Amino acid sequence: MRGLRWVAILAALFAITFAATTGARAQEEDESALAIPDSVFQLSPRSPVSYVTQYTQDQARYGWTQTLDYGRNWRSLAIGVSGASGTSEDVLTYGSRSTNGDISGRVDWRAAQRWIISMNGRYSMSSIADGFRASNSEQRRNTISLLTQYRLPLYTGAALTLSGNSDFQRNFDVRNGGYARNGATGEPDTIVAQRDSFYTEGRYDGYRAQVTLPTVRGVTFDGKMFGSRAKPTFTSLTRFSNSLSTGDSAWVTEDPRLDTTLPANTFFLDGALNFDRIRATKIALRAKRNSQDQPYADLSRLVVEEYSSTSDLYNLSLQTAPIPGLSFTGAANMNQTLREYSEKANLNSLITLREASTGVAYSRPGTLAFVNLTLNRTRADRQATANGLTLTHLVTTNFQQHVKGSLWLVGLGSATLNSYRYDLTPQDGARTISRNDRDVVSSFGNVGMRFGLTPRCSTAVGFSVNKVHNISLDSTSSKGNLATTIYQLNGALRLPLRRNLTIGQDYIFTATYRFFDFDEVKNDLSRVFRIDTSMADTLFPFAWIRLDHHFYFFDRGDFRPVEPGGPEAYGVAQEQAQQTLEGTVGIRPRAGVTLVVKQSMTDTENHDLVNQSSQGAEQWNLSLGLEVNRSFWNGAGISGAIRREERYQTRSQLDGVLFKESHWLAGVTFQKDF
Amino acid sequence: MRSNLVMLLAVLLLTGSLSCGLFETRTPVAPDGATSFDCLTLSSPDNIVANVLRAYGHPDGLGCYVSTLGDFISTTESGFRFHPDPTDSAEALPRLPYLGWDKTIEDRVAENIANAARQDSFRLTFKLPYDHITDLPDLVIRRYTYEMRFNGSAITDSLFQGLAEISMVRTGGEWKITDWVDRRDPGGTTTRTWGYLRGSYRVGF
Repeated sequence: MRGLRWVAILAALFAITFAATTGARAQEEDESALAIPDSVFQLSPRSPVSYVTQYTQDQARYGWTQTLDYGRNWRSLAIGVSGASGTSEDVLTYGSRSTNGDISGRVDWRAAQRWIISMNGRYSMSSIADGFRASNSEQRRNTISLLTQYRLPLYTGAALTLSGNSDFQRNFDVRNGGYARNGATGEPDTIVAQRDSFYTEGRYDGYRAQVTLPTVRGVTFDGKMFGSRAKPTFTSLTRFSNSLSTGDSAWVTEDPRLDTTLPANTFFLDGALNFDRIRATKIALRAKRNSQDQPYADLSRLVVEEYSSTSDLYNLSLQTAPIPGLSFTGAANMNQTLREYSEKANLNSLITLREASTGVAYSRPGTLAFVNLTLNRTRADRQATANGLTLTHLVTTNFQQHVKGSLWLVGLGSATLNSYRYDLTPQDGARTISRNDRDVVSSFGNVGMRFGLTPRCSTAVGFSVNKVHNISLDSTSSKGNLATTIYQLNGALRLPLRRNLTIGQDYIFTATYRFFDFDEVKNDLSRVFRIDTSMADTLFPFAWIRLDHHFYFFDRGDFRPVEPGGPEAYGVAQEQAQQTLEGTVGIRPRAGVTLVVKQSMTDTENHDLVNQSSQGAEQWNLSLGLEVNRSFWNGAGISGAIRREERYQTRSQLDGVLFKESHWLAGVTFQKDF
Repeated sequence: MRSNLVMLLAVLLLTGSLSCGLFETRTPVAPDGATSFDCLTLSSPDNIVANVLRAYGHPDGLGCYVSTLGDFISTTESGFRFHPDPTDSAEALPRLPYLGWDKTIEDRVAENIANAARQDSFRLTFKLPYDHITDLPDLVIRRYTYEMRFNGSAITDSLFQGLAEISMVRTGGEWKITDWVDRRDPGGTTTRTWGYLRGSYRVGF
């Protein structure tokens, strides 16, 4: 008996190895889709029918969704049925209207202790009408799947799971569209309606094997294999209708049916080897291959697109903690993906990625720090354009240090280089590097401090520097090379004056320098200073009030030498000051129900210091809202909010137009368990 | 002793990575005298939109365009997200070219489009007036009707039309684009959108 188990293990390993070495096809779908976990047959205390409906609306769109689920679980049988529907449409009649529906059911039967038979079916449809309304597309997907799964325990902790399935699929895609055709005079005299459809039918046979070995002397192996084969048949039909200016209309043309049968094979292979015999050290090696041949109906071109892809991934990782609190990590990845299309050849690509990363981290009470370095080299080939190499170098660091009492010092930093190095093309002429080559280097650093002045009063201060430099290498585009540096100083204060009264203030000062490498006359500086103040008071158990004030000041101007070779000088050309005062009152007439009223006024002043002119605007905002979050009888509940918002200007010298706008916002969810 | 060891290792890693030339850039060639666009400071939503119009599709404006996009690394809290028209997304299936479209993806796609547009005529216009969706002191959402004429190397279409719903947020001192919602234009003459163009130039990443 023991010998048979080892034969089974070796057979599974051989199958996996054989499949890998023969280059069998793989797939990118969820490889665990066929696995039926034992938890399916766990008795649940009660399996209710659950119904949820949700409605949302904003200025642009509204949507309504409904779901209904029912499920029962016994020791040897589990059943489940669910349905869902959704509708979404643009409120302003722009754009699309989409509807979708889905009904599915499943029966899982444990025929024997280790043998499971399952059947599930799904019917789904979706329909989208675009902004033209005359153009719409519809999809239907029908699938019935039969599955059997057998789990064979090999020895303590080791198991082999085998399963097979057959999916019977029927897909229907249709698109209706219309366009005008010009007559002899050059003016439209005919409207052509076109209806294109694809019908796809096929049986997909799948298989799956998974072997898990227990840890032996620190080594663990887990392997999975999954694949399917099919030969679906595609049938297309095109019909035209010419509506002449005389009013006549008929289906005048009909394409003959076109039957195409193509292979649709998928294969997935995944193996992972973990080693943790060395104290506080884990080493993992993973190899994965997936590939697929996937023909599909392309309605936009009325052809059967033959898409195939193959992807290989190899990963080696190391993690060790030689002493408590200190850990090192290292990883190496190689990934190659080939994608090929028979019709859309411009989408073909072969991407080869190589990446190495290393890091050190330290953690102990009061201190946390890490540094990571990643080097990435990605090469693109077989593309219609933009073949070449991309180098990415990234270093990140972070630390937190408890200094004393309630004083903390925190900081983070990063540096990134993206270097795009394209292959030379005939358009590059005699160049030695591609005219599209460019480098982007950026860095970010931030240090901050949190300090509790008293047990109830705290403050925080932070300073950050963010630099980004875009560099195009070629002379035809290097004039736009731009280096941007942003310095930002921010502070925050939280002061609870009384138990129900809290005041908070946030300060931000930002200076943005922009330097053009080859266009210095455009160098400039802009500065922003803003203070946000808030005061919240709980008047009574059923009411609260909040006052906010926002002050924003901005100026900008040239930042360049007044005379050649001299120091840069800042010449302010524009100033903007903006203040917003906002008041909010909330009332809770009963538990779970809140009425919120908010009104604000924003005053904006612009000053053009070059032309000595000023402009201003005043805008009012009013918001009335109702928020509900209540539970009712037997598990029913409703939560959501509805809000009416109005905005209008009482003064506008910015563009001379008084802006006025109002709309509803809503989001409501109702849930009931039966 | 332990703290000293940690500090030594961290300093070695940091100084090693910074001093080995890992972050050194290459030396560019001086410009050939051609004039470049003006990249305005990110001090107002109007400047953001002006930068998009001037810089998009131009190789020398790439740095300016990407500087208008919100980034988690910078002081802006919200990162950039692009949301295509649902029909464009549905018609691309089973491909998922719009999945996880953040600033990194937008940077690369904008670069590919700018490089492809180098040898072709490229013209981008926003029609006025635009629609006010939201107009708050620190949040502005506008909807522009755009038209783009472009003949690239990866696709043969030349005209792109649609609606761009652009959300701009002010945090700290600068305005940044955080969300870009693309829609087909009911009044347009083509269903090819900016989102379709973007999706066509996301290849290999």
